Amino acid sequence: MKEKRFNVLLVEDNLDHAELVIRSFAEHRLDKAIHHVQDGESALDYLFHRGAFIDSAIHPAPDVVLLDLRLPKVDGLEVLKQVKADTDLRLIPVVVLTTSAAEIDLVKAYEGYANSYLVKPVDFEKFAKLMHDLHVYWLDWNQHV
Amino acid sequence: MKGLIRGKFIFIVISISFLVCLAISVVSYSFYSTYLYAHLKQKTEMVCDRLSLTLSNQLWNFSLHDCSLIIESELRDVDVLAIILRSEDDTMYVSLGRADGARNGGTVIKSLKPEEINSLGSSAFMARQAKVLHGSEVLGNVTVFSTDRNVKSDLVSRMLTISLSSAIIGVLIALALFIAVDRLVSSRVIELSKVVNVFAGGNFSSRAEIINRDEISALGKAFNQMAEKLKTLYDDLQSSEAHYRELYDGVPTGLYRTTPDGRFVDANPALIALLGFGDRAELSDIELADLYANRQDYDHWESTLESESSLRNFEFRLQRTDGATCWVRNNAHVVTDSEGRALCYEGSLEDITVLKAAEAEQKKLIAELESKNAELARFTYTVSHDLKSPLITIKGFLGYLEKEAREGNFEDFAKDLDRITSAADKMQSLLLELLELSRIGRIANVQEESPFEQVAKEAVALVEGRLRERDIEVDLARGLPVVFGDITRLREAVENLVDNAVKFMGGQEKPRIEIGSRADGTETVFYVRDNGIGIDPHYHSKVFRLFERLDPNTEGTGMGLAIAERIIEVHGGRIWVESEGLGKGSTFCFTFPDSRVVKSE
Repeated sequence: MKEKRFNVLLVEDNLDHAELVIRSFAEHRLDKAIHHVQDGESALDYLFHRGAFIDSAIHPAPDVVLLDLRLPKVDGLEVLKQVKADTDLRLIPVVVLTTSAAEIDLVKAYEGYANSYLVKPVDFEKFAKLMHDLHVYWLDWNQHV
Repeated sequence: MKGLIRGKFIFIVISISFLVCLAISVVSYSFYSTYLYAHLKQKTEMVCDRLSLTLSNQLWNFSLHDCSLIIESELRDVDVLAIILRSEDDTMYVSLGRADGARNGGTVIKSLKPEEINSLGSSAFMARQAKVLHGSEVLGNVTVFSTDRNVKSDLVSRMLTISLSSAIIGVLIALALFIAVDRLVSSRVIELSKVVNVFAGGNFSSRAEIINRDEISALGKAFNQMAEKLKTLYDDLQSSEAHYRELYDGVPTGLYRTTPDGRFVDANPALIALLGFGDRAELSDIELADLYANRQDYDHWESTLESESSLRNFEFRLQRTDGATCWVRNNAHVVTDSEGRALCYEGSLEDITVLKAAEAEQKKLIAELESKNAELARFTYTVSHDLKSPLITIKGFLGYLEKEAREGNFEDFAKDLDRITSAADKMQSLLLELLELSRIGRIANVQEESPFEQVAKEAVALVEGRLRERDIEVDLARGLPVVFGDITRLREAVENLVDNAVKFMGGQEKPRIEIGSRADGTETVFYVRDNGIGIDPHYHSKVFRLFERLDPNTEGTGMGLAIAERIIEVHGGRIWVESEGLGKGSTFCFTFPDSRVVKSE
């Protein structure tokens, strides 16, 4: 039986941050595809297979969503709200990955049924460790529907 | 009243004197009649006894003539009616009697006829018989008849005298009694009643005269004490009334009383002044409902009073008679009688216009403060987020640099170094622009007048390089109004708007930016219009937010529009964006308050 290929949707407007996440994940051998979008609108288009993301063969439904909160056009909380309002999409774990440690963001994210809330550490070692643990937990250990 | 008292006195006195007079008459009649009849009886017996002695010798000698003389002399007494001398065997010797009708003119003696002797038994008062003796021999019998005719007339004349004199005495006593009673009681009671009447008439200094210690004086004294207390009470009441009147007239709050149908009965000077009237008389033409600028307020007032009988701190706009309105606070209640019927409404009106204005000002300030606070919170939040972001990039790629250097991977090393450099540059420009933003409005530059055309021209000149680079045509309207403000800042605002237009020109073949103004009502609206990619109406409110970028791939920090907005706001104006959507271009509009725009003729 062919091993399942993991799909990760990375919603991140900062290209440098996205690169850091992608590089960290590349260190793990698990077969996966990281689909990167830069704003909330594109993230919703991807998830709902709209516009440029209509072909679900190229843009398959993700096993986990890594979501930044401050995004151009539609912000992360709105993306979260629409995802969790959809009966199919709400099954996908959404991990909020943001620079904001503000309590209001934390509360709003959990109110929007976020599955996890992670703050990007400034320190490189910590950042690398978080990325490692994130991968291990959400991709290796965590069971997906 | 005084007639009644005197009348009763007179009646009582007359009755008493009549009774006294009657009593005296009755007593003296019985006394005199007893006395006179006893005397008559004694006299008759005496005459009879005397005759039985004096006739003894004459009869012994049988000298009847002498006997007649003796008898005649006895008959001179007016009380003796007749005397009869008879023998032992009833033979008539002498029978003499008084003749009728000769009562006053001397004594007329006549011999009695036998029928006259027989009638003596009934006409005489009494009869007395005695034996005429000589030694022990009985010579005959003498009988004396007496009459009470004189006693009767004597009694009548005496009774007349007594009655008359006792009547006179009675009248005199009555008169004396009346005068005494009148002096002692009636006149003083009348005098006292006069005093009371004067007091009742309102002269509270009226007092009764105290002359002795009798009951009437005691009454007067009691009255005086009562009057004194009443006067004290009245004086207290008057001073209290004056005190409250002073308070009522002097208090700055309007006080009033109206009839249940809303007409003024009373109002204090503060209320009259509050309503804008000259004096109290003008109030009579006014109905309560006329004083409410909004009819609904009056309806609320009336229905609340009807249902709850009182109203607390009700605020409404008062319609003054001079046409002006002011804010007032009203407290009112219904005054009812014992059966719950409304007698009147009482209440107070307080001018709270100043308070209201202060309240509104306070609300405005609080709202402003809250909005500033929210802005500050948003600012801190975005700043911390956006400053942290390049730091993560720098530290993250520094970590990779170390690794790449160790591995000798110089291709990635150069790329990552570039990332670090640009993140550091980004941080620097963020910091600079934040500093810039914080200076707007905080550091006051010179306020001056400048034609807006001039301001726009200089702003365009600052982005000249990029305009030429993308071959963008700029159309600047002529004769734009003169504006007054911080010209350097205004230029910066326009520069940011033009710069923004350049950034979002997209793939437009004939890129064009238009700067001009239009009249919108009384307002002058300035605008910077482009035919670039346009903005989805959904995002119009987001574009001015700090660090907000609709497209992550455009260069810049996301502060240009935030700075432009801040500059316009500091000048008291408004800024907004108009765009029909993607591909339709955008128009950034802004206004200034009238004081800052000098309109062209």
